[in-house]
Amino acid sequence: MSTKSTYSRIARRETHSPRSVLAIVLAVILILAAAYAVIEIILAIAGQKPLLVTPGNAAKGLVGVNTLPVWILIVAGIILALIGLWLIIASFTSGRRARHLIHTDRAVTVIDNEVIASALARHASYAANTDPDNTRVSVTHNRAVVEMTPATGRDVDKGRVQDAVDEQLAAYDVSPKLRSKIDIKKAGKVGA
Amino acid sequence: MNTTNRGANRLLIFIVGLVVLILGAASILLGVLPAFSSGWKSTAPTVSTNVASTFSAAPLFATGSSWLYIALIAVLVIIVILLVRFIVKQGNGHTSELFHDDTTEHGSTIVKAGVAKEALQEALKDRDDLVSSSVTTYDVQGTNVLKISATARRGVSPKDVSDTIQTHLKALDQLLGFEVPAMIQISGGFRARVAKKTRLE
Repeated sequence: MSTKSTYSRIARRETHSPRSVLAIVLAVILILAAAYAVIEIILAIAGQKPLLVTPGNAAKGLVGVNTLPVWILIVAGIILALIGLWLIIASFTSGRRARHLIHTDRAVTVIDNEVIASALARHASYAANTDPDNTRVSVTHNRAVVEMTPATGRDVDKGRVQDAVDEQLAAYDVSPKLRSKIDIKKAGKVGA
Repeated sequence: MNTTNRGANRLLIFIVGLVVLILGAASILLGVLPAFSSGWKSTAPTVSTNVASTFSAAPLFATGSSWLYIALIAVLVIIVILLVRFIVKQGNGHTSELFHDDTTEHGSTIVKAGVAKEALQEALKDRDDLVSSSVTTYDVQGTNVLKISATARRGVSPKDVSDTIQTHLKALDQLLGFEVPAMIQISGGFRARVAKKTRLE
């Protein structure tokens, strides 16, 4: 297998969720349910008292389910249907992770969006001469939004911040591409 | 990087979701549609009697139980075994070999993953901009791939970290005489946030 296709496989798998947690949780629930059923059947064969209900009585209960109050049937039905729908949606959606990639000839680099955001925050606050703690950066799939709260009485040069952020983004050259948006808050903060 | 069968994960989630959805829909119909409810009332007891007579048609000696219960237990146990296997198979794919050449008449050469691990970790250990790093090797569809995970300090440029690690990788290439495909993972997270502050060069 060529290195290129290996890299593209890694890149795809690292940026999408394997849905392992959900699948394992479901598998554990099924295992517990099956184990419980086996125990009840064995108890019934041995003629012992059931833990909760004998298999025969469980079947009778299922037959008589239409005698339950209507609201219980509807509420239980809606809850089950919603859970089922959610699971089906989870099985089809891509499950994108908050990560970006840098492709180079030597390696493929996977970066958490959080790391990009904190690096941008540092460079933006240097450019604006404010405290990094008053700079909020959120990085999503294709946007990096920088929100700055300037110190009261001080002007922040939006152009410089924009240049600094764009320069950093150009240097990282992540895929998918990030577009920047700079938002300087109107109201400053004392001592920021 | 690992060999988790993601298709199987999604298939299991889909099947369970479908069954739960059908149960829910049936329950709603029982509550809302009188026709469905009366249909259930007339059909369900018949089905139940038929099943019960099938069970009693295969008696288990004189216990009053049925062989079919034993069969049912067997099926359930097989399902449990398959599900346990499914869980255990998640996240595998590590390998301890970096390189294995074709055996010649003089023998064969094996480079263990530990070589790359030691070399890279030694190089990355004392860096100020990383809180921690680790190196593992995976077998990705027959190709051995190095995975270098690094937790970057807050504000460190991911590009710098990536470039540094690639420099070390190239040095490793020189040392080994061949290139191992590599994946670099740079993460932030809790450890980066609580790490002691330091001065970076």
